[in-house]
Amino acid sequence: MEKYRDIIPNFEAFQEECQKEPVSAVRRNDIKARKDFEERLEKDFEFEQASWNNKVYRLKHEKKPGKSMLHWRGEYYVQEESAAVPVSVLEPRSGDEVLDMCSAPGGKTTQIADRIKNEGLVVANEVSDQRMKSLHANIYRTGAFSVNALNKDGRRIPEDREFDKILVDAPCSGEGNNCRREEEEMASEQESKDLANLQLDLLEKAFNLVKEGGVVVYSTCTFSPYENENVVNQALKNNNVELEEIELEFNHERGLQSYQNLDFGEEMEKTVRIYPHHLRSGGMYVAKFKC
Amino acid sequence: MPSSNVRDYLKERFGVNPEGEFYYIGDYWYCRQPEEKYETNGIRAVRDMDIGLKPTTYFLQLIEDEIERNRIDVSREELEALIGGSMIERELDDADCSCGEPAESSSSSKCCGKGYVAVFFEDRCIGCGFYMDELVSSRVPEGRGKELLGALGFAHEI
Repeated sequence: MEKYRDIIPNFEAFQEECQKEPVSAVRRNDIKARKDFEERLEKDFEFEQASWNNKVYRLKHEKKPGKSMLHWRGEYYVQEESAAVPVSVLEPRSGDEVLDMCSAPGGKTTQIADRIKNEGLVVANEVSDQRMKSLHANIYRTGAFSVNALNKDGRRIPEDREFDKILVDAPCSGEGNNCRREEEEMASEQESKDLANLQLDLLEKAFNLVKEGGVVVYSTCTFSPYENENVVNQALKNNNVELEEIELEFNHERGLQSYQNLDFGEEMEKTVRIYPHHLRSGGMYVAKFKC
Repeated sequence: MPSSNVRDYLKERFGVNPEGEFYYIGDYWYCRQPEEKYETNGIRAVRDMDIGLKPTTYFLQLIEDEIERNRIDVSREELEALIGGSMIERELDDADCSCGEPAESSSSSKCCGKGYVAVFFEDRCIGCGFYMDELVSSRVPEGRGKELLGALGFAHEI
């Protein structure tokens, strides 16, 4: 992660966090959660509620958050705290028709279904046959019956329906989760640049699938500017869309205006970077487009 | 298959009238906006079996608040026994079915109640069970049952 020393403010705090175990977090699923949810959660775990999202609970000293009856019943979903941010930015509402383009294993899909109270439609697309299994299992467990699942390459989703909101949680080099691993396990710069081509294709496909005036949220769990600001900058240049400023109620950084010899411009200030030390969670980059 | 079949069954057996749509494709799927092009539409709700309709564990959990009839509440020990494959004794007071068979142990004409039931533990629906001759057995899928026993801290394995 040394290569990012110049772009990550408070790099020491970042490095320190990368040496630690992340804090386990779960997201309450109100489709299934009963009124006494917190009382019951307290019997199994010591927890504190996240200040920015009252559905997110940080579990103290817990390494097996998936082992409880509440989880078995789908009353909560085990999800890194930062991973709950893109759907909060998307702001799906009851009645919305939403597409989650790269959806497995379904954490964000089921979060959307919960946000719209199963009133509306969520199309959960996933390219991998294998990952469809975990997607289905999580849809059933959480009672997300407003979700229809589609098994296609996101770039080839038929354009016979338009959506109010689209989430492109793109496949990425995963540095945000891998910073706790060894340097040699990281994606190379070339791999990162190759992924960026796919990410841009997916994002531009989303612009074709969204209704006029609709919203597209682009997110990755990586730090690489090639996969983040550079993709967003290219998308802005090639398409008639604009960025909407993201406001978050917790510590974060704004998107980069430049990196090495690349200039992304001031618009990137509207996007956000979340580093592991911000939420004691994984890293995340999020951009919101008004189309 | 018309969705009125499944609606009639759910109304009669469990006293529920779910607001979503039922889409028939081999089984009944509970969803919002079904279309053939999707791999799945919502969640599988009721299986269409040779012997009749059978609600899924996932669906019973989803409609748990509305279930008025054929609900069985079990203790921790009974739950362990049920999921482990044993049967537990129970007499249904709120049985309502149309099988037309009177209860064997009763001189009244009360219905025997044979059919699927919703099993509850600590006021939470665990899933599907089957009631016959005053005995209840589990219809929670084996893999899910195993996960539940693990989650509840039972050493027992199916």
